[in-house]
Amino acid sequence: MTIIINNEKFEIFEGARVVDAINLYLNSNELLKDHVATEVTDQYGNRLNDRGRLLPGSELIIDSELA
Amino acid sequence: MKNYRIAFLLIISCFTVLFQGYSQTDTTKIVILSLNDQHARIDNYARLKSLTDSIRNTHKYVLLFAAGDNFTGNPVVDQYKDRGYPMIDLMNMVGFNASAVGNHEFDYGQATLRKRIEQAQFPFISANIKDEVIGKVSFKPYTIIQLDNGIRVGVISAIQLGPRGLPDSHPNNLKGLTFTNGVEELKTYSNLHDSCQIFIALTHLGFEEDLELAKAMPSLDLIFGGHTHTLTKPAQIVNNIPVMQAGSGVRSLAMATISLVNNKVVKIEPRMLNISAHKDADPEILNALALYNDNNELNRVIGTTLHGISGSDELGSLMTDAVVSLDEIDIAFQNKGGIRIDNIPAGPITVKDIYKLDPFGNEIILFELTGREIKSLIANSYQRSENSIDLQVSGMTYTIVTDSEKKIRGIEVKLSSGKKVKDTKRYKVGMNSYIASSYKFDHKDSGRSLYRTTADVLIQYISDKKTVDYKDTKRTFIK
Repeated sequence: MTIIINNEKFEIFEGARVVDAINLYLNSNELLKDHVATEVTDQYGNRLNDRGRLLPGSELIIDSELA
Repeated sequence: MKNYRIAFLLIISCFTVLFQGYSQTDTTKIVILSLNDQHARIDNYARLKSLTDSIRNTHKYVLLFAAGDNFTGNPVVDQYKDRGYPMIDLMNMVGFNASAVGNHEFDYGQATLRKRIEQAQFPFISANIKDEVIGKVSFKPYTIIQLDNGIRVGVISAIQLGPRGLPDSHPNNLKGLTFTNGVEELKTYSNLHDSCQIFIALTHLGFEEDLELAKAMPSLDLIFGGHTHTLTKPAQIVNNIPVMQAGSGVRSLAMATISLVNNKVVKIEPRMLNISAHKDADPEILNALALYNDNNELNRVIGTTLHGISGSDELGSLMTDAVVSLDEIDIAFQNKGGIRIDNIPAGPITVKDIYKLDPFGNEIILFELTGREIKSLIANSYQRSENSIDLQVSGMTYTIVTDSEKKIRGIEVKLSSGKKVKDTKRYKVGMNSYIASSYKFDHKDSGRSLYRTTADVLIQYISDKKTVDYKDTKRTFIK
């Protein structure tokens, strides 16, 4: 299924959770390799906990920083 | 005497009219509390009880709801002899009034869910779950709670469906049940609003679908949702309907104070309460928690190993064999970083050993991969781990052929039968959700979760096998 992270489209398996989206995002770019997610929100600014299920088309904002 | 009687009746009538007039303009406040996606995280329950009791002490009418996924996420509850029992026991003690059915309600199987529903002193409701077979679990679509002031609170519910038209649970757990679109199903109950003064949707649809529901059902007063673990701040207002969700893990509590005048909702004040920050704890629940947390279930012996299981080759082989024991899967992978202990010593294996070995709550993801795509995964894993073996396997063995600089020249993959893996043939491959999301490999199939954790499957596998031994097992090579 397709989800959107920081305005970019990503393909992820069906039934993925927020933690999977974080892993996908942080491994998508060499520059993020040593980063950790500091906060994940939806497009409305609501915080998401890491076991929350994603739906097709889910939009996430992931903030990260160097570990 | 007759005149006195008439005068008395007139006075009584006047008082009645005055009293009725007063009561019709009086504001009635009803507090509705909801939390969702508790996932068996019971450790905050003494605080939750104290917090809800403090609200009950200051408000006459308080209702408490759960928006689904009460179970799965804490071995103390999940591995309890009567699975899930502590969760419902504690929910009864706190005084829940209704629960939505979440996808994780099915994780222990329908027979166990039925027992938990019977144990609960509150109804589990869902409008879009239909039972095909008599005797399986079944749910009422809604409940109406009548308060002692005559106010009726109608509560409807529905469960989320994934792209395959099923909730996010293993299909084996859903046999005999059919599911319809949640929002469409709930719309058919719109006129329930006429039978109550407060009309609430208590859903497990996910936040986005709750927003759609608010657009589609203006007769609702309030939506409490679950599934996406969204922590609203404190509510998203759509179509004048507050949509609330309280994160997960019994850390937050959604609170809506509803004011009614003349039995009509005139105001809803949403708040989000922090359970973890509440200082007081209910002593009775503390005692119950101590008993549940001290139970011996984690020390339950599930099998034995004669020689002990040591190192990533042996432990990884055990873990992947468990995954391959599932009907859907022919080949499985386990990453070295996900093997969290060095060995399981010879002797009995306990539930606790498994959670030490595999503590992350990763789920099993199924991909249909070609032989070429499997090799792409192996190649990526080798490079990720600085040119060393990372992935352990079951259902096959592999050899990475390297040059003098440790760069990959080729990968030889053989199935357990000894036959070579064909580049174009598709195989059913299972891996944990960490590998599925973090490793870069070619795959046309984007994969799907089986909604079972690797630890849960491993406990089941060892319990079934009774004895497991992996002495000198090695399935991955570099030459």
